[in-house]
Amino acid sequence: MGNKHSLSLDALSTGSAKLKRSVSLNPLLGFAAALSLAIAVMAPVHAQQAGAGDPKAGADKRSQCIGCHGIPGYKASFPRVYNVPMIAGQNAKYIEAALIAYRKGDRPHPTMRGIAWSLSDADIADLAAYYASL
Amino acid sequence: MKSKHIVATLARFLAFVSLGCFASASLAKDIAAGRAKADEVCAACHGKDGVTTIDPSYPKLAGQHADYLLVALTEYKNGSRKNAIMASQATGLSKADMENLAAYYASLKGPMTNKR
Repeated sequence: MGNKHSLSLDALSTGSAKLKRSVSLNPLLGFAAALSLAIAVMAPVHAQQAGAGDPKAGADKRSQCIGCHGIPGYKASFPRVYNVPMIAGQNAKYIEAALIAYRKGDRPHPTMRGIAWSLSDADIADLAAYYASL
Repeated sequence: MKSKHIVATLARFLAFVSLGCFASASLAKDIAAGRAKADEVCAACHGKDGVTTIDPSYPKLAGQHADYLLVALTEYKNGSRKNAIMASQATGLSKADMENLAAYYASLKGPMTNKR
């Protein structure tokens, strides 16, 4: 069980092809993937607006962000230890691009990939607009 | 006998901790070399000040955490972060270049904060 678990975590950080394989290995991860998929399918039901995000709406969606990005000196602990980036005051279009890259699997950080999976395009635009406005 | 063992363990622990401090202090690299490299490689897109980017989809770098910048550059170079432009930029950077660049940009005053 311990072996399977670490294999799955490894797969999470190395690529979606491996991830697919590990889903069949680990029922717990399979459940997590199904849950993420369900959230991802449901997420676009939220009002989807084209164009720039709404910073006020973004403020209401930031609960998943503040636990790491809102704490001075907070360090990511997996898979490597380093200060999580400061995002308040960053360019909105860059925050958007980064979240979309995490969602697509173009960036490896497992926690950020999981969080980005749960966000719709509108959520991402709103969060980007909110953090850029700070 | 037992106290000797405790002292030895304590000494080993202190040696380990001080080694750890030394290792993290060595992250503070050559900021002047970082500036030279930044002007040559990064400034055209990220701005000479690390804030005035030529495109809003490029990140501000000034004041960002050095260890995060190093992770990002390392990931662009090894391909685990996929971005065509950054991959080609990072390919030409050595580990020392990346450490110096990260230290330089972290040393600049920037607009990013931990505001929530």
